[in-house]
Amino acid sequence: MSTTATTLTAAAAPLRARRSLLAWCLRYALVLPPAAVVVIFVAWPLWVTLYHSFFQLDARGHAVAFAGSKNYQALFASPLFHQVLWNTAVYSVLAVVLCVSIAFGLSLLLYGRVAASSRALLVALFSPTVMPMIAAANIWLYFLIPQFGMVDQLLRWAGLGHENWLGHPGTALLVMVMLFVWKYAPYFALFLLAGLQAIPPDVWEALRTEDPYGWASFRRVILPILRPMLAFVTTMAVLYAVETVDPVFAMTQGGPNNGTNLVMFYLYNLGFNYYSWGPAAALSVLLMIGLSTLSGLSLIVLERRAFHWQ
Amino acid sequence: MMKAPYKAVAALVSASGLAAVMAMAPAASAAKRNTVELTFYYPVGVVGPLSQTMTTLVNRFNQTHPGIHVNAVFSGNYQQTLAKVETAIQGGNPPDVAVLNHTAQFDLIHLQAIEPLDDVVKAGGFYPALTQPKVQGHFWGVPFQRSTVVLYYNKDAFKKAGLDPSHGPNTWSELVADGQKLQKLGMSGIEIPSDGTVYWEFEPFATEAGHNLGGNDGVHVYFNSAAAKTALQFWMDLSHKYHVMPAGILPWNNVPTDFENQKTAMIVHSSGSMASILQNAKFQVGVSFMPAYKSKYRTGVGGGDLYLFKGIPADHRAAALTFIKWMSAPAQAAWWSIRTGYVPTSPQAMQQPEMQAHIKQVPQAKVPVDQLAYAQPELSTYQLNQVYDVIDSAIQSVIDGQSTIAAALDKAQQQADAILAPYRMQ
Amino acid sequence: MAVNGMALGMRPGKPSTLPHHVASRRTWRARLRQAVLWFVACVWGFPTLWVLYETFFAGAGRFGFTFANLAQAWQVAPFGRYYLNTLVMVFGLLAVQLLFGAVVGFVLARYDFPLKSVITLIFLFQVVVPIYAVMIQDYRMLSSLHLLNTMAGVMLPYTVSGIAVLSFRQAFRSVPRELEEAARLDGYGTFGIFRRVYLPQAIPAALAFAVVSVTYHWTDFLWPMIVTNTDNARPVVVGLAMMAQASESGMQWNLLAAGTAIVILPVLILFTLATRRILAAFAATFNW
Repeated sequence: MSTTATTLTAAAAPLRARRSLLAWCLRYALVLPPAAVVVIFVAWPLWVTLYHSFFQLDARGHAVAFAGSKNYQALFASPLFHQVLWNTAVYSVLAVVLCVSIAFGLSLLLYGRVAASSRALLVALFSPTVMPMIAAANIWLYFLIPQFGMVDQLLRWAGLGHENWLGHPGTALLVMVMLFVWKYAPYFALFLLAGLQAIPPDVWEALRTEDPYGWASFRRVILPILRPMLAFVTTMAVLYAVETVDPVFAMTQGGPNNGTNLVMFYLYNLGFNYYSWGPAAALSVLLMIGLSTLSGLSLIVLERRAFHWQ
Repeated sequence: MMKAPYKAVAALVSASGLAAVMAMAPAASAAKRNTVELTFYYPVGVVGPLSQTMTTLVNRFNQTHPGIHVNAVFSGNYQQTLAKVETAIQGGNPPDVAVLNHTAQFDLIHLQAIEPLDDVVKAGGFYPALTQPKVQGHFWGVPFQRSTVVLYYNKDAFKKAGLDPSHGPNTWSELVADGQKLQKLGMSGIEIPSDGTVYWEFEPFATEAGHNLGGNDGVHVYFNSAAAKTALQFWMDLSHKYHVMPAGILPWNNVPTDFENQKTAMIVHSSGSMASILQNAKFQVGVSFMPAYKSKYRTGVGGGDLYLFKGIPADHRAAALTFIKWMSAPAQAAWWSIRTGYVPTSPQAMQQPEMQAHIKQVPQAKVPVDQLAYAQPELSTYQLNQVYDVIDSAIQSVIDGQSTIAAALDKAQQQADAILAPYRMQ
Repeated sequence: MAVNGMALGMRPGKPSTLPHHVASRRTWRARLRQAVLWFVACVWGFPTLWVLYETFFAGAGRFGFTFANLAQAWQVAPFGRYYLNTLVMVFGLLAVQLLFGAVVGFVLARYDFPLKSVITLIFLFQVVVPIYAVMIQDYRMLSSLHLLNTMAGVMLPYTVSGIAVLSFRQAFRSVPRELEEAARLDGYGTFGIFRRVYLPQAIPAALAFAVVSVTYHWTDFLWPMIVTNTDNARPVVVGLAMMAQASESGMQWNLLAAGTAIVILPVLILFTLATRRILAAFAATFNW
């Protein structure tokens, strides 16, 4: 008896080891190919971009000589790039502040009312959320046609003359901001609404009886509970704003006078229109650092409330 | 409870799997054997009749030429088509034939992307204004959809304002005087588009004032010449001194619409818009030369040539040459001109019976051809898209009141010089 | 990544047990709130409605209905082909993303092996890095693989979604181990357990991810615009953007409106049919 038992365990040990080795192999076989796809299409290109940003590139984009920080210097020496940065900053600040405030207001309006609201109301409110940005941009393009567009007709009706909204750098950028708010405010309101609904009903009830006008309790209780969600939505909004390129493409092509030339469109132009591969690589690296920091930040904020990492 | 959504997901997944398999399948499975498949990029608006006209023309070629099948690919506006083609070349995957700006030749030569087409150009007998000057001793593009800058005017409005509807304003000062009279009818006197590639509408004015915007060598520009400053000053005066043009930047796409709807009595636009303007306007439309300055009529030529690309297989090259010759032959040039308003590219095209009949019916169509005698080459350099952006932004910053004329044009000159400097040394 | 958005707004308002004057003030305020909400919704819906109105009524007399604009736009650009391309790419991607997401998520949630955290980080990395930063290099890679102007080329960089992997992983981790033990006693193998025990638990996460993935890729513009050159591979959004790029002649605005309508009508109809489900899915998964 005892001998058989010993032989059995003795035989089982290598078998188990072999089995677990096999299991490991299988796990790697399942996990590594997708990971390889990520490495090939994200990590490796990122490395090449970083590498290229320190090299002089020929017209076909091959590295020919080490350039140190020359590409970065060339980028920052360009007055157009300064203007692009300024445009992007103005656009992003305006778009984010307006968008998040309006989204917050909307979420308060919607709170407790989504179930009771009619379908028409929800579809009207969220139709910009489900349509492509290009379609949204076209709608506004159509809306703003000088002389014939709805906006100009309304202005004329009100006796305010007419305005070529996309014809001046300032107003064109403002149109971009409005488009952003129109497209994304309801979307962000959804997240804030989810945050509001996470507040337990008895908190609402207590606040309701003690402070029927709600301002003080709103500020002292509700806002702190919502703060992580607000922070998350704000970082997302910044991310979306900095990445804006579709409406620039569809509405203005960066004009007039580069007034709506935003950083993503500039990157597209550097790479695919001017063939300035070196500065394009440098700008890609800077964007990568900026944007992924933001993304990471939003992920951390989010993780703290719902996403249990590890 | 979980069953139904589970099935939904399963169905979704299998449907998607099918879709994924379809995506991997080669797209052009319908291609027949022994047929040379050519790729042909062209830049006209999909909106409007131009793209349909192009499709019809290419289909005619395909029907009459067994063994060759041309796939016509619409690829955005001129600038985007050039960007697409250049990127495709850099990726080692050029199209066979493309219509690109005549002015793109420097960049295309620099990329070693195109082949000279001297024989085709010489045999074609085209108007010299469309092919001159040679670059590096060769002709590179075959004139195809070429246009001129013309002035459209509303004859009915001219009559109403007490002006002679048989001709448009002959000089810059007449333009102002006519505009001021037309203004009294409750419409703008004139609109000149100024968004996008505004250099094109601007260049004839600069030329009339004494100097082209560009040289013939592709490495020199004259953005801050006295002529350019005079011309831009005149544009500004039209809006701010004489009040005959709406102030601010006017969109290219919108100006013909304004004209057709009698919001403005005159416009400066491409002769390529003639067909659609004549079709849409519900009044008598006059087409005339650009008004002269210091008794010089001038106009700019624009539009696209057919280019043949390097590095394509021999059978493609032969087929592509056949296609280019056919497309630019008098019969097709006349056919295309009648339907679009582009210039008939050669005297033989003008002599086509169809063309003659058309001109009898639509005398306006003769104006761009007559203009060719006064035409000047269009601004053409290396790093074309970048240089265009520089001059366009400069003009727009002035029109928008952000910059003075001298400051903007001097800055543009400086920027363009910086861009072109590396090419001067070669 | 699941937020409690699935219960979006399903909590009914609490019945009032307050003194009369407070209650009446509350109903007055509630009505005002409702009115403001309707006003905002009208403002938000108006531009879209205007374009749809122009599409179906412009050029047809003042109150006539017409399909002419729509038909003309459909004729001018091959929208049928664009839609087919879009469907193939969007659902093809979804299938691959779900497959990889479920398998990798399962392995990461359920098993241990060396370098697991590094591999998890790779997927997290994919979530965080914006495609814009690697666009130019990805383009050049596709070009050397001769995959430019193919649907496969548009899809390739997106085939593995970090969000899908992490959502599945999250969903699988919340499955109690006892369920698995019970299934094992019933004689199920690992695959059977994956299918019968784990997958059903991940359905809400999968559906939410599906909505987000479909929305993202259906609306994506810059990348497909750069990769595609011909109608054989162009998705509908790129086709629409091309349509707005008139060059020599002036724009025909009615066609722009009609083209836009062709693009938004299907999605609006779908959204109208499943309004609350789609909204819940939006709130449940974030879209990078």
